[in-house]
Amino acid sequence: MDSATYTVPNDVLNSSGQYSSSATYKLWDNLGEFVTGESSSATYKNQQGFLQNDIPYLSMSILPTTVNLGTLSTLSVSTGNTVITISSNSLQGFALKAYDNTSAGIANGLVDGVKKVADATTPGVYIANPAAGTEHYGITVTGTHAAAGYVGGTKINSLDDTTWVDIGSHSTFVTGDAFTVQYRASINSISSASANYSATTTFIVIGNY
Amino acid sequence: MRKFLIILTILSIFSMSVAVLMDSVQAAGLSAVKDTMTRQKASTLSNHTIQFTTTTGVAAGGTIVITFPSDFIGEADIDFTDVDMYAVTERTLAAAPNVATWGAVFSDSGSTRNRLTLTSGTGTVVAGGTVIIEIGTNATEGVAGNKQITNATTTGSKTVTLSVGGTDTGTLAIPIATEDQVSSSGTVDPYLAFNVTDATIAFGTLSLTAITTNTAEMTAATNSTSGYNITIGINGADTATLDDGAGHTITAIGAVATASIPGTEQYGMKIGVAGGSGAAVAPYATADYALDTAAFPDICASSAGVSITTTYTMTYMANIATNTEPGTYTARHTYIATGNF
Repeated sequence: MDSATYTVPNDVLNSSGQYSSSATYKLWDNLGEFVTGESSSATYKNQQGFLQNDIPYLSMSILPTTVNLGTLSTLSVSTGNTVITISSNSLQGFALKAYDNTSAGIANGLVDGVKKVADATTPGVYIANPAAGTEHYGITVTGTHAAAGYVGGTKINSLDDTTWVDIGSHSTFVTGDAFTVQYRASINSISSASANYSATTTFIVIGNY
Repeated sequence: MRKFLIILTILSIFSMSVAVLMDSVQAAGLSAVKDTMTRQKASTLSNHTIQFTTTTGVAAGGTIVITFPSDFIGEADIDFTDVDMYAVTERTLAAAPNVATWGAVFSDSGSTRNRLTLTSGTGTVVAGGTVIIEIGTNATEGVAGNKQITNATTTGSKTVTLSVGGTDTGTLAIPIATEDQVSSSGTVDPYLAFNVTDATIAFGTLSLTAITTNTAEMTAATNSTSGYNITIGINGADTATLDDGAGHTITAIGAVATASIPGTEQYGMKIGVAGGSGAAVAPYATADYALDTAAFPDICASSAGVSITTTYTMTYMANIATNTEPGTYTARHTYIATGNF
């Protein structure tokens, strides 16, 4: 069906249907299609029927939102996890990114306002997880769609306060895509200054449309 | 009637087979649409970097309209200075369009200042062109932006709509979360290590003509950013200077570092330093000798901050005079390290 200004490429003749509206909503409905609904596989999504939901959807949840690494040690690497869960109906997927907030003038990382636990690496550069006794702080990420640089959690990255660091991404729609972000820290025998340290990481997810 | 139903069935099955969701459903004429925010927590100020590619472009006098959901609110006084627009080149923005200058105005659409309309004067965006629009403190061209848009008060997926050039339209989703930040914390306990080695030193027989010395060592390390102090003193009935227990002593040099003079009754020490950030403290920090017993416990070494192991070498020196009473003289000093936490 077409006119001088538009074309409906695949229209359908059904037994009923109409456009309805009130002050607070609009509704287009139809009646009589034989096969409707949504089905999907790992790589495809099929939405059957003439009327389709065209509202993009993107959600993110983070739990827990506090991670206490406890007393840092020279003998072990302290770890703590948070899980970020994303759902999106974008056929181009999404990107998940993170940065560390500036705290009391210190650019990023685990800080106490004056001092900081040394970054594990240059932000954005992946290195093998440092051993206990090496002063470091950073994150590693696991999950089906975690950024490849983390190599299943065996490599660590540090976060920047000016540039987003990639955590993960997916190239199509997904429901409940989980990313486990593990914070890792250890200290040097005596050069790591005594203090209570903290960091704040901001996560964002960007839908691709 | 039977024939009509058969036709209807065929048409329905045909439509089922082709009605697969296409990208154009979400972005008619727009592609590569995304919004990079700085915060995605509810009721929180955020910058936006919105990027898209327009199939049709924008003609002179055309508009780009970005509408946030009704529970997003632009800060009071948010205006064109809080917006940057880039399309091949950075575009000049003002409150109203004028020739090559684009107008940038925030208006109300279901809530306060949640719609941005960019209006061209004579400027255009070419078909197939990519446009980047920054809203908030990230708008640094010209007057730096200082106003942002507050995220929705409610959580969930929120839809932003775009209308470009009156022809291309699109939507994108942004997630508004209960929390978009993770606070991590860890504690490094205070650390202070200290030890004295060579705790017993013997001068042997003191001489009238030659200097007699012997050394002891102590080590200290800390992770205190304020460092530590080490004092020299005595404990209980210990004697600060060499004493024979019969009322005779070898005179301590005192608070002023002094060179060794054989034939003169002297007892003192100096401290050498190796490694770490520790340092000897006057009067023990020179090549000469001192022993300020009046100041006991007297700070003889310290570190101003975090320090790996510093090794201090205390060189004790004793001289006697011709009238020094014969006997076996001893002294015992107690060193104490105190961390400054």
